[in-house]
Amino acid sequence: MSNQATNIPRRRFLQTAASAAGAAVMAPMFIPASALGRDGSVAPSERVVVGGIGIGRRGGYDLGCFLEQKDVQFVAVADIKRKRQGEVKAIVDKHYGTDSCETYRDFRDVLDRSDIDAVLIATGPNWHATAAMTAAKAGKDMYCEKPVTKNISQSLILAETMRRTGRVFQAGTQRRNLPHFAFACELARTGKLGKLQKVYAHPAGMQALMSGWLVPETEPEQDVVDWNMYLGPAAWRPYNAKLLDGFNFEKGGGFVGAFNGGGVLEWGSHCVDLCQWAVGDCPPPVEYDAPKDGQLVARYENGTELIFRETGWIPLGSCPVRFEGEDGWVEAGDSGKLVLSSPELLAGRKVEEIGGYPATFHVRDFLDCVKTRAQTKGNADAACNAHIACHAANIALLLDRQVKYDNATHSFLNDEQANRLRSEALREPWRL
Amino acid sequence: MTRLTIQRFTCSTIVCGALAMAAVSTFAFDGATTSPEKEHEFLAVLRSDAQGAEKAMACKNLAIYGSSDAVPDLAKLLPDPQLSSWARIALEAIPGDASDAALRKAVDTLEGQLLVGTINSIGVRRDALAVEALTGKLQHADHEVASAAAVALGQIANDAAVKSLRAVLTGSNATVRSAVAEGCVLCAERLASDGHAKVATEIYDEVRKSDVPLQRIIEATRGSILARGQDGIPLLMETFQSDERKLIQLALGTVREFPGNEIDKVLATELSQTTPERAALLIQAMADRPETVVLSAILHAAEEGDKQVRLSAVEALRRVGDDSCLATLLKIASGDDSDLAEKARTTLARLPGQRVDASIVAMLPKADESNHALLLQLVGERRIDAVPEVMKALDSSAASVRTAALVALGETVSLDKLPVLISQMVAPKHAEDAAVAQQAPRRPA
Repeated sequence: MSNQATNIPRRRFLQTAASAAGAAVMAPMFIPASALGRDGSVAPSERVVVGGIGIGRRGGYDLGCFLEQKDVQFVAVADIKRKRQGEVKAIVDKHYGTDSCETYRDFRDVLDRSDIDAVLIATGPNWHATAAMTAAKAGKDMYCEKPVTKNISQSLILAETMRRTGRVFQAGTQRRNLPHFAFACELARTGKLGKLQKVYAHPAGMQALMSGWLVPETEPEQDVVDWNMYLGPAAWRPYNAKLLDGFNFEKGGGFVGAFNGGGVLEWGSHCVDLCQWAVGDCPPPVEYDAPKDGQLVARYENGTELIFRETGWIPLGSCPVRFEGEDGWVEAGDSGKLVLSSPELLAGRKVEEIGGYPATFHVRDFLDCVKTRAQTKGNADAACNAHIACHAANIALLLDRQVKYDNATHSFLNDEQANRLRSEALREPWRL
Repeated sequence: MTRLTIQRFTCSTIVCGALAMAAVSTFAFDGATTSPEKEHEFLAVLRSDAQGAEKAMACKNLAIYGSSDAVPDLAKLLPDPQLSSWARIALEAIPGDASDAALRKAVDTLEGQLLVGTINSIGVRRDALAVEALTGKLQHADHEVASAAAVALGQIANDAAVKSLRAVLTGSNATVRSAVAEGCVLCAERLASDGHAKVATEIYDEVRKSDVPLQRIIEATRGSILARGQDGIPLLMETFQSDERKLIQLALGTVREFPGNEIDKVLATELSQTTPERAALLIQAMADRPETVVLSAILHAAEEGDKQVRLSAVEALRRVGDDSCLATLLKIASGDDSDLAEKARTTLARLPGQRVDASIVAMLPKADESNHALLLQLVGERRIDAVPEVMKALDSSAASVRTAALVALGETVSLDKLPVLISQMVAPKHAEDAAVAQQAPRRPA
């Protein structure tokens, strides 16, 4: 039984010193190949070389978006499950018609490769922040699935680490690059709805789920499933196959009796993120009421309310948001549709022409920013604020009372219990 | 009520920037909030022969309800490979000297991964009294232990920690040196944030000149540029002119966060001197400084020169252009290069600036045939209310102009003026316009 993190010699990172790329810079995709004197192909030196970390269900969708891009060369995948390594390799090799996608059990082997520019992190949420920070320190840009962090502290460290290391970070909040959500947020942000009064987010479940210490089962061989690596930064517990569902394991962790953190993080990291965009990406709310009648009300410094609610939505598909101002409102969901208080808000456009999916736009935004070094739509600061709002709401849920958050000190006011829930120790040897 | 100074909120690396976090905060700690009853309940579990699962949950609860009374029992679990991480969840969270002392004591006895974890927790808590012990671990034979100590010292970042790290930056093992450099950069970030830019710059520069991985040099270079303030401009430009792609990328990112407007003038000059490949990227960075960008430099880049640079400039004008760019963009949009023309048309449709719409309308009467159609197209795409001016274009002898006018009317005509469009559908002055007119109506604005 493995009960300690793998003791791998710290050969890491040193090899990243040598850059194979030399002084060549990558041209942004908005410059067509013809302008570079070529016949339409993307030169190898201008491809973003990408590796994958933990590509499962959601990651498979992301992988497809990456493979669609002509300026991507996907070269490697790391996964603690041998079966998944093979599945991803098969997809990638089939796409390129080669046998060249390398597989690894330890994601740090991907980070060691100096030819890799960026990584797609699509592990379970237990690993997101730790893998992202490790990748940043290894000099990789990253597209990281959500929820990105497990607590408030990780959210803040994420933002600062990306800034300090100069890395390009894109949270998997693809709705920031979907035109109809962007349109709705722009209406709110630019005052078209009048002074904003309420923004609504659908958390898709405000109850806590358990993923604690279950009955021990026979642990598979490390080569089949590396349980120790799967646990990673999460506190140790024995192998149990039920916990291998990485999508839910330790989501928004850190809570007594709520190791899964609940649904606030699952969709909140999307819907609250959109609400944050609608309010101009300002600091997160400063007050979070106790949940009541299926909703939780939070308030921004200027009095605008952020309301987590389960019901009362116009049927516009999953992940709906609604923004209400003094002069109008708009509601949007995953159907790609918008409903507005007045057609005047469309300014002559039709809902159909504004458009919705595919989510490829978000991957494209990331790749463009890898080349130009601009801020992505789902950058680390934006993700930090949205996740803090979710974590603070979770803390109000857990404590079942109002909590007040100070954005200057990033602490709860006169609330020792809430403050202790801002962070959680990582299992050895992991650190942020 | 006991007043405790909490120096260990875990975001010790957040020392500057938009988050402006106060890493050291003091607040009142009301012992009653720890709930002694619950603490006793969970301590009883730890003191019993309960199974690991129960003790793990007890640790988790003690993170919220535990006080210094719980520390001795939690500390006993630190050598336990299964429960050590659970115990540290509580020990990291419980305020006060007792937790610090317990973690420091464990450093003397633990080895391997458990020692690494304990050192990590000390770093998170920023225990100033641990500097001596951590300094001793910098020479540990286990490189993971030495690296953990280096990063923890960087998180503590007091004078003693800085001194310890600087002393081993050049002498430590290559693997550990990367962590020492990380610790140095963390110290420098905190010093810079606290107003000690000079010493921060010294540390950054020591890291830059050390034999450490490129990523550490990148971090130190960014810090050194920003800590220097306006005096950092030469280093920023030197970095942009580097032969190393990752340093060029760093410069492009740092340009976007550099304060003041002096840098914008320097960038404008650089634009005319650098290679086309870099110029195309530099323009994008310049345009991400909309408050201070030298617009004339981007406009000039759009007008002539290397095609990729022109494309980048035309693209950038979507964000920072204004009505002063109209003539240039119209000329490019009517030019022979289809790539540039298409991009210019897209930029014209989105060009910001309050006076752009009025300027387009003012140009209509004087426009030549090629520009006239393009201007009418822009009236439609930008949803400009200019029905009288568009109506006049229906009398043009050029079919392309009349077609553009009809489409523009379809995009912009309001309900009260809809009959104008309908009359063109049923009785056009030019018979060939009827088909276009019939396709033009959209949802009336």
